[in-house]
Amino acid sequence: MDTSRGGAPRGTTEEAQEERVWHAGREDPMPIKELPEPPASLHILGPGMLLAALGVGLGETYLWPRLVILFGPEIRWLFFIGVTLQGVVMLEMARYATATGESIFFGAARLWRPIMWLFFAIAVLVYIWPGHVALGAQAFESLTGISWYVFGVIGLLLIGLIISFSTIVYNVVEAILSTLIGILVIGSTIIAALVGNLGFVWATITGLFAFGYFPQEALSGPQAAALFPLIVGAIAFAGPSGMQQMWYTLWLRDKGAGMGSYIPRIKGLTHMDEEESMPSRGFMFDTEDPENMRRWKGWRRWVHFDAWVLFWGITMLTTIIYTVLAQSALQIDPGVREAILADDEGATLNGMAAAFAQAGGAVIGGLFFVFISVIGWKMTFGIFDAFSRGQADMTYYFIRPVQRLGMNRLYFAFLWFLILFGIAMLFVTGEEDGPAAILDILSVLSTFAMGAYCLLLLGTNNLLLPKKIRPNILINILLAFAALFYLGMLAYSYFRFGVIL
Amino acid sequence: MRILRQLKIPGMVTGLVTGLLVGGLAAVAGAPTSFVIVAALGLGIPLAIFGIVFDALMDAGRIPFGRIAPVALYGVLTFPIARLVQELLLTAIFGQGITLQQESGVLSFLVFQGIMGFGYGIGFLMIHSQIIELSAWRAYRKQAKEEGDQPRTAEKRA
Repeated sequence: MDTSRGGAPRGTTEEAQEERVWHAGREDPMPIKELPEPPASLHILGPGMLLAALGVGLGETYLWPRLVILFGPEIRWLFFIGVTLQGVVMLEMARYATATGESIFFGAARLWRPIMWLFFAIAVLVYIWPGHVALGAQAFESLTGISWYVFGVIGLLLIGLIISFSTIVYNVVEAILSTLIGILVIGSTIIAALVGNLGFVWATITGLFAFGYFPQEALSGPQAAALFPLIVGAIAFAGPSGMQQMWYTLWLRDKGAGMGSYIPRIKGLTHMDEEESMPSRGFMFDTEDPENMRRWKGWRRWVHFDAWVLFWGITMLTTIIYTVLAQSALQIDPGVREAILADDEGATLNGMAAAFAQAGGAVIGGLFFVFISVIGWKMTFGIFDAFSRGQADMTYYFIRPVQRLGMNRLYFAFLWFLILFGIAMLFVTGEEDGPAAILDILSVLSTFAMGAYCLLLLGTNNLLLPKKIRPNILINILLAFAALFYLGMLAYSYFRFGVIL
Repeated sequence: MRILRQLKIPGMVTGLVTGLLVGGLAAVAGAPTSFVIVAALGLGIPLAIFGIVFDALMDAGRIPFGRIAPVALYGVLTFPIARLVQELLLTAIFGQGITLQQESGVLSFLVFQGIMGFGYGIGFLMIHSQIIELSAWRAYRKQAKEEGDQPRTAEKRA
């Protein structure tokens, strides 16, 4: 470990020219450069919106409505805690990424490379399954009668084609995800406006603050072993699940946030000849310089807006809408609850759609399926991009022989592997052991990854960054609590019920 | 771009498409055609008109671009009116609206729709921003093309 960590950036003299560097952990030191000016105004388009767009997925629209139907809106307080902790995590992810221009994976390697490889392995285990697109495709089949395989395969190929033919991949991903989340917010708002009522909104809001409520049947009784893990899984799906927060650091970099400005972006297949040379590590700014610190405060303001207004606000809004929807479904068709308890995994979707069809005509029932299809595709689109970014980042920097291929080629290699593997998996898993089962497996590993990255952030942000820009004690406590929250729930589920699913 | 702004297309399109979304997809789901048309246009046209007004207010500098709070408030105020128009039209033509008759009164209907209007406003802003930003963003990206070691700035808008 380098002794200069923890102090101000240290200057070393090389030849006649002075190059100042910041020694962080075990990898190459970071050269000191100017922190770019933060954006003059806060804007709705940003990586935070991307994370919200990715985060508002099947957790909000499927897993949590399922819990609300089972246990009532009071269960939502756990969601509230989960999303708020995610807001804090997001700020800390951004702290490392904007200060260094490096991904959090690189930060993990600076602490100890095996930690990074652990996340590499988790990503592969969790994200190569096409669970999201499969569930979306199933919803599409319910609507149109067209086999879900067809929609799944077309959906996967479409992702590959869109990304391959884009100029700057990030811009396309941002535009598509932001538009789709906009359509989803508007669409689900309209459905809720057509089936809900004032009482449901009130029950939802009070439910968010019903701190401490825990359904007895999930703690003891014959169904506890089935219900408790369901809650744990849903908590992991509150907001951005699994490794999505880690990928946020890669989006920040491509957006050009903070020191990410110095790192080239991923370009489409047709623009790869314009690839710029990738630096072998990130950068640091001079934290002793008042001008740089002023800019840093500006970036933090930008990130806070991203985390609280865009991410937290939009996630909570969608949650309120979907809780209203779930309550409406239960009111219209009380049989939904029994169907879910009977372990019919498609019951939530079918039940909600059927209930809405009854209330607002076929209009609403159909719309609901369309939204689930869109969500499934959107999640897959966002995850495939992010997964490929993350794996390419780790492979490029830490497997030297493949470095000559360049970050771009590695990115596309991972992307097309996912697509082709996904298509193969759609046919292998089949419908019976299909989408919902895959999603349940994801939620366990996701929960583990979330606890693990909270611990990682404690390490990177306290050990690798200069003292002046480290998180304060309150944030550190919250991160530690978050780690305990995710890993503790998982451990309790395992030791109490013998299952982690 | 200027012509686009003068025609107030972004707001109008966003509003209209939203309304048509409801009806258009109903057709897929098999609702009676006449009901689909009235439901779609009954919501789409009022929302399109409010979209045009929104653009006009933005051009006049009354609503700042890309800010969340004013747009959400705009949604809270206008969405209930659009929904009410839709319900009244459906009731007048088919003798039955969608939810108006189920509510305890017009006031509680409007309050609930107002809360939903908040969500509508946010969604409207996201799509509206995308339409407007598309060309502006491209121009910016071209201009901000990296030169050597120069940092990119994340955003250009002041």
